Amino acid sequence: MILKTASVLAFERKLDPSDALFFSGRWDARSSGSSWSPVNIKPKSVRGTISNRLKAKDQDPAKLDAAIESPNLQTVDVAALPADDDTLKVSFTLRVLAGTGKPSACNDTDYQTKLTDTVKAYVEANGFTELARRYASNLANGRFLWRNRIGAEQVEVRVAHLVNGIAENTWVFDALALSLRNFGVSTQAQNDLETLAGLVANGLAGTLHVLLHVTAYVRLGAGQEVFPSQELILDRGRGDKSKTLYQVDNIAGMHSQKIGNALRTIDTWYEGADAIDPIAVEPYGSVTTLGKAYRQPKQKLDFYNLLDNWIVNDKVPPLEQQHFVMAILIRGGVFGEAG
Amino acid sequence: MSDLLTEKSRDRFRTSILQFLRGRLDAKLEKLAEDDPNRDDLIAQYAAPVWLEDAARRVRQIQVVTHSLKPIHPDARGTNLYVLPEQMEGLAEVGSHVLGQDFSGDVVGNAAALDIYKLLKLEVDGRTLLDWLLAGDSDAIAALSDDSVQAQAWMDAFAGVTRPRDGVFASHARAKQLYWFVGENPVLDEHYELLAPLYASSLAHAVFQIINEDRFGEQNKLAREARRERKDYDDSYRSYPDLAVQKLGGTKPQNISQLNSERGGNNYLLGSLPPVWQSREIRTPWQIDSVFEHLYGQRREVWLILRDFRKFLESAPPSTMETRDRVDAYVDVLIGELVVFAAEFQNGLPPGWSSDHQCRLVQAERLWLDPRRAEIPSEEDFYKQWLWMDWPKGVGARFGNWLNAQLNAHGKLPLGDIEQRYWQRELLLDESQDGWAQHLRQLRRTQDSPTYIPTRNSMGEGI
Amino acid sequence: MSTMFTESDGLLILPHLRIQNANAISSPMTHGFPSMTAFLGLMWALERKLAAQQMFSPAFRSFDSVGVICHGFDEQTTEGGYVKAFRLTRNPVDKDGSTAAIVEEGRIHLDITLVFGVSGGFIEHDEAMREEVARNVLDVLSTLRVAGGSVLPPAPSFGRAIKPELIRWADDVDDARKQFRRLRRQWLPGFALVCRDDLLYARLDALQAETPESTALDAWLDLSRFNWRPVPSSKKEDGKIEWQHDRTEGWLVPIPVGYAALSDSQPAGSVLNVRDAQIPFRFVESLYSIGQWLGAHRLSNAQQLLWYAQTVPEKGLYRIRNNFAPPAPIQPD
Repeated sequence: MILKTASVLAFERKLDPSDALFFSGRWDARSSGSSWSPVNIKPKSVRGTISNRLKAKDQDPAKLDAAIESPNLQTVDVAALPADDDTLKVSFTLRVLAGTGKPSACNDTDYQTKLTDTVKAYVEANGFTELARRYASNLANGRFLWRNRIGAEQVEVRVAHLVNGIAENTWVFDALALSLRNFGVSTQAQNDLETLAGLVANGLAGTLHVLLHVTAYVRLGAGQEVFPSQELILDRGRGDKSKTLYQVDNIAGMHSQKIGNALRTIDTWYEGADAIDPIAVEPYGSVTTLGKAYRQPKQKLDFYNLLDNWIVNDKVPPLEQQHFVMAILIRGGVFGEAG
Repeated sequence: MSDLLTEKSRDRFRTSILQFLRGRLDAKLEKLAEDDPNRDDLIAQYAAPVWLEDAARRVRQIQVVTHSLKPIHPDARGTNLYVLPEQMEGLAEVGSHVLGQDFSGDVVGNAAALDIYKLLKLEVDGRTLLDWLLAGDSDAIAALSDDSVQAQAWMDAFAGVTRPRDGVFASHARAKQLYWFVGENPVLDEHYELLAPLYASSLAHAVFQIINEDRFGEQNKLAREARRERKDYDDSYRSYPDLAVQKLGGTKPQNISQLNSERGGNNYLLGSLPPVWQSREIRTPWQIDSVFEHLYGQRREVWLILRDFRKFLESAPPSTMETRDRVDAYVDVLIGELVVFAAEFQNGLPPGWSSDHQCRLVQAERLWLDPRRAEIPSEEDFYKQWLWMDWPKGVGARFGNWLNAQLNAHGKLPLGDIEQRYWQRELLLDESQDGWAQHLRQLRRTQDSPTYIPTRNSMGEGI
Repeated sequence: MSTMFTESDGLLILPHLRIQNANAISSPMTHGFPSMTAFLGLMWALERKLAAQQMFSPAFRSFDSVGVICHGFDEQTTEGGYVKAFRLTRNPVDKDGSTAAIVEEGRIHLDITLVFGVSGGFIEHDEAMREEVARNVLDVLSTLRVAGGSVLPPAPSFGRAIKPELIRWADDVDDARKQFRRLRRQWLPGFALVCRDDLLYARLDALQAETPESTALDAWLDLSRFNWRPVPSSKKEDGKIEWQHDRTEGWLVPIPVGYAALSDSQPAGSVLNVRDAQIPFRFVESLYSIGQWLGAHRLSNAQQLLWYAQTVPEKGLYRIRNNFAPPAPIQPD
């Protein structure tokens, strides 16, 4: 039987985080739920300085003075901790869904059967252990805090397993004691991390309904600036804000996509990975912030080449590339041949 | 006689085509120097038989459509359709069929071949050349070439511009394809049909033109000014609430379609947004001992219901089942308004507002309208009183007294005597184990425990 | 085929679902709330998922219709200005690292109550069992996309009932009415979306009385905007005159109400790149009508807020309907 890739092939994401919301308070009050107030976003006028190269005709000193007199006024959004609060609290929920490898759309039943068998074989051999360990690490190490993690004096991450709305178990991690560069674990956190990873793996395998509530406390120092997500607005009107930050019901927040991106930053299996940090699992290994893709089609290590070889040509990729392919299926997306 | 007419008609088509070619040629020649050696080549290219032959070949690069795929997703490739609105089912809803004969065709494909579309859009005797060719008009065909075989071949090519390329229908992984249940049992796969919505380009264009005229047109501008100055005016001023604009094709609207390019990639979306509760300003109830008289009773909705209610009672209805139902219904609507009214305070004012010294409300109303004060750690008493649930009956009694006073002579309703459970339920306090009351208990219990603590309920926050 | 409204034996209510990042663009011409077609699609998907769970046999359970009550929303658009723009989340990157084509996907966060008209033996269970069924349905629904968005865990908040309920209508008419009144109050504050085809036709008649060539599109746009006109009788001595608008018939909004065929139904497998080659395929376009957001306490019975599908293949009509107003004719007279 000659198999081809299905022309319509799509998967839904299996790690489904909510938006994260920002609150502020005192480090000592981490256990007091009611003493945290929302971080608000405020518009601020800033003077852009003249820094672009001036055209020859504008280099007349009088004109330059005039230009500096009428500076480039812009309005931007900013968010910061109040003067009395030294700690940022970031919280979100994460739903772990079963059914990895089961397409939400696939128009070739033979292909789908082969795909299902392949995923099943992977799971039987490996479980979701390796992937879940990495996802759990990215919860514990606070990678999802992005810029807010930089320069923090202390970061504590609490992960609660919710069952019928009640926290059945809670694990507390010292995020700064965990590395962002690799997924090795300090012995201190090992037990908790393994338990959490086991839970995530069970959620992916469908043996348990897993909903996690994640809260990070970031001790930044009173009045420090914090960094919610930035919004992308095409076609801004004249006089509109040049930077808009994300908020939900007047609470500063981070987009769920950004949380998801941090959680799946587990790819250390691309070529040249030793030199660089883990990157987010993406079909071509693309990294938005760097404007670069680390799994180019010509290297044959991109998702499409790996998947086609595995499913269609029976060329089983090395184990770490199998992990990568599974992580893409967990990420979800539209992957048809015609795409 | 009829031959003569035909000839005249054919000539009109031909003149049109030649004028079109002449115009395009002149535009090109203008850019060339008088002695440019390419001039003669150019002139030769624009001779009708040469240009038409080339056009008949290139026309396959474009398709004239009424419904297109790319607006759904710019990376989608597949079938676009040309469906004459007047040939569509005459449904009662709004769809492309409402356009009738008056519609703009759109063009998808290679923008370099758009010149051919301009030819096909030449208007002759009130219809476009394309319309005539699609209708198989013999004069239009004859105008293409004196060689009838040639003319027929070109006409086939040009008329083919509305047909999907490749001759076979195709959708795409990026296209929308939705399952529509058409059978008896939603569990069975075969009881569905796949529906693939295309973007109604011609309809969207008609809507765009109307809205754009209303946004930027002179008439509406004058009307707006007249309204602002409260002057008389012989037309209306139109404004679209919650109008949004969606960009199709990003910075390259021409990649989507010709009409999209003409619209600068702007697609207007009309607002379907729900109303927002709490749109009215909330007055904090300072210096009054009850909200019934001064605030609740002043609401327009309440006042209107009361007026009807009174009128009904004044008509001295017989004491039948039907009358009882009517009375129940009036009271029910009033309680509904009461719940809406209370929610404005409960959600619209900061928790703890009722502890301000300006607040003179009786305790039952404070417990009712400021429930989240019970979440504050220092409000232990308030929390206990709230959970004791003695107060809903108090609120109910006050409501009953107020209502009876409003209805005065027209009959007393025994509202004050209704049991506490009833009011607890009516005021929406009958909460389940995972409701707010439970949340409140847990919150108080765990206030100092080092485990997970819910703080503020909102989008994205847990529990 | 369920082309008529089914009088259900009961209701399944999932209160205060918080949906994050649902589709705000409901059709090529409307935004601000997901299309009701998405909620019908959700209902069908839910039935299939429940069947896969084998909790109850399909014969024992039937979802007939769906209604939605909106308690709150947060559409991700820019504020201020005459037109809104959508706030997007990121610049996607292509395989070469360059910025990929941006597809503007409007997003909205919702706080909604979903109400399903349900029938079948499963509603005859005792209260404890019904409660378990309702909770199970909520669990399953939480794993599905709702109008493209994710279901967040419930947030207990004062005045919000969040417990899912499966209700069997009481046999006694009076008791059933009381049941409904309690429910409708629980849905406050909130608005139900109901269909107002009748107002579209009435406006068309009114326009045609003045301008015979007016179309349903003209009537639709007329109802979708404020038409301000001077009121001659209000003229003061100083010549000033009051202007009034015509949106006095409630909170009316333009909405998509299903699809109209653009092609014949194509046999299964005959069209390239379809997501399912086992069933027929048809090209369609969106159809539009007028809806109304109605305060939940203004509903007089459950039927008023429930929507169902009506398919008339020979007319190429794939509609969603709601019987708040008398059902519309399939073809205008």
